[in-house]
Amino acid sequence: MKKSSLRATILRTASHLFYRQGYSNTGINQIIQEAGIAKSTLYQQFRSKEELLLEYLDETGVRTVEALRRAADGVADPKKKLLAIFDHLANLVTREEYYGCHFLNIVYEMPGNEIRIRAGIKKQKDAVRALFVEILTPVGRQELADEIYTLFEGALVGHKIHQAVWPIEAAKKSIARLF
Amino acid sequence: MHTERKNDIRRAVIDTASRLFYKQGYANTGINQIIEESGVVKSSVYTAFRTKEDILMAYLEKTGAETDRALQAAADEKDMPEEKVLAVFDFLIGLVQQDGYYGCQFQNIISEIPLDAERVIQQIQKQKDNVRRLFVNILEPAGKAELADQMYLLFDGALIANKVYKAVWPVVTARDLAFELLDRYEY
Repeated sequence: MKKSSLRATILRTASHLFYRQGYSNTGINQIIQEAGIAKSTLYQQFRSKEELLLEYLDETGVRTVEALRRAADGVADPKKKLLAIFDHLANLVTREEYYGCHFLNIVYEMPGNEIRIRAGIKKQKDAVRALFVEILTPVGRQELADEIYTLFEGALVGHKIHQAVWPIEAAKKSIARLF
Repeated sequence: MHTERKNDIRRAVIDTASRLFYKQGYANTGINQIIEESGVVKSSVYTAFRTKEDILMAYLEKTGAETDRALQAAADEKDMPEEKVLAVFDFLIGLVQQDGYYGCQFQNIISEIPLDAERVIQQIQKQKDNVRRLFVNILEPAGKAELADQMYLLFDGALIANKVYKAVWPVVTARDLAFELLDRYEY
C-alpha cells in the first residue's frame, strides 16, 4: 500500500470510531485492528492518538464548512443563504449516521486544558463564524454573524438534547425576524 | 430517626457525587470514589442507590431544581416580561464567569451517556423543558410566548459556545440577540 493511502486509511478508520463511540472510548488497538495494520505502521504515520484526533478535527473541519458553504451557494440573498445553511443542518441531523456535531462532541470529552485540541475545535467554529460574516457583509449586517453563530450552536445542542428538529426550525424563525 | 439517617446517607452520597460528576465527568467517576469521598460505608450506599445511574438521576433532579429556582429568582427581580428575559441572560453572564463553572450540568451529561440511557435523557429533556416553560410564562403576558423557544435556543447556544471559546462573549451576544428579537416582535 502506498504511504499516502495508508495514512488515509488509518485516519478514516480513526475518524469513524472517534465520531461514533467517542475519543476516550477509542483505543489505539481498536484502530489498528479495524484498519488491518500493525501497531508499528500506525506509529510511523502518527505519533499518538492525539495526533490522529487533531488531523480528524482538521479534515472534518474543512469538509463540514465546505458543506455549509455549498448549501449557501445555492441562493443569492444573504437571508436565504443563512436559512439554506439551517436547512442543511435540518437535513444533516436526520441522517442515520449522524451522532451530533463532531466538534461539540469532542469539546465535551475534554475536561480542560488540552490546548492543541481546543484550538482545533475553535478553528472550525471560527470558520463557521467567518462564513456568516462573509454572507452578511454585502448587506452591511456583519454584526449579526456571531448572533447567528449562537443560534447555530443552540440548534445543534437543542437537537442533541430533544432529539427533534424543532430547535433548528426555531433558529430559522429567529433568522427570518432579523431581516 | 431511622428515616433521618437514611436521608443523611442519601444527601452525603448525592453531594459528593454531584461535585465529582460535575468536575470530572460521569464516566470518569467510579462508584468507589464516591463511596470513599462521601465517607459512607459501601453497603449503605448500595442500600440507598442500586446503581451509579441511580445516583446520577438523583444528582440531575437536585441540580435541576436548584437551576429552576435560580433562573426564576433572576426573572423575579424585574417587572416587565422583556426585562425578565434579559435578567435570565444576565444571570448566565455572571454564572459562566464564576470560579468552578465547568459548563451546563445537563449538556455535560447528555454528551457522556449512551443513547439508550432513556430515563437520563428524559430527565435532561424535562429540565430543559422547564427552562422553555419559564420563557413561555414570562412572555405570555406580553403576547410574545411564540418567542420562548427562540430564547431557549439562545440560552443553550450561549452555554455551549461559552464552553467552546471559554469566553463570555457568546452569552453577551445571545443577550443582544434576545433583546433584538423581543424588540422587533409584532403580533
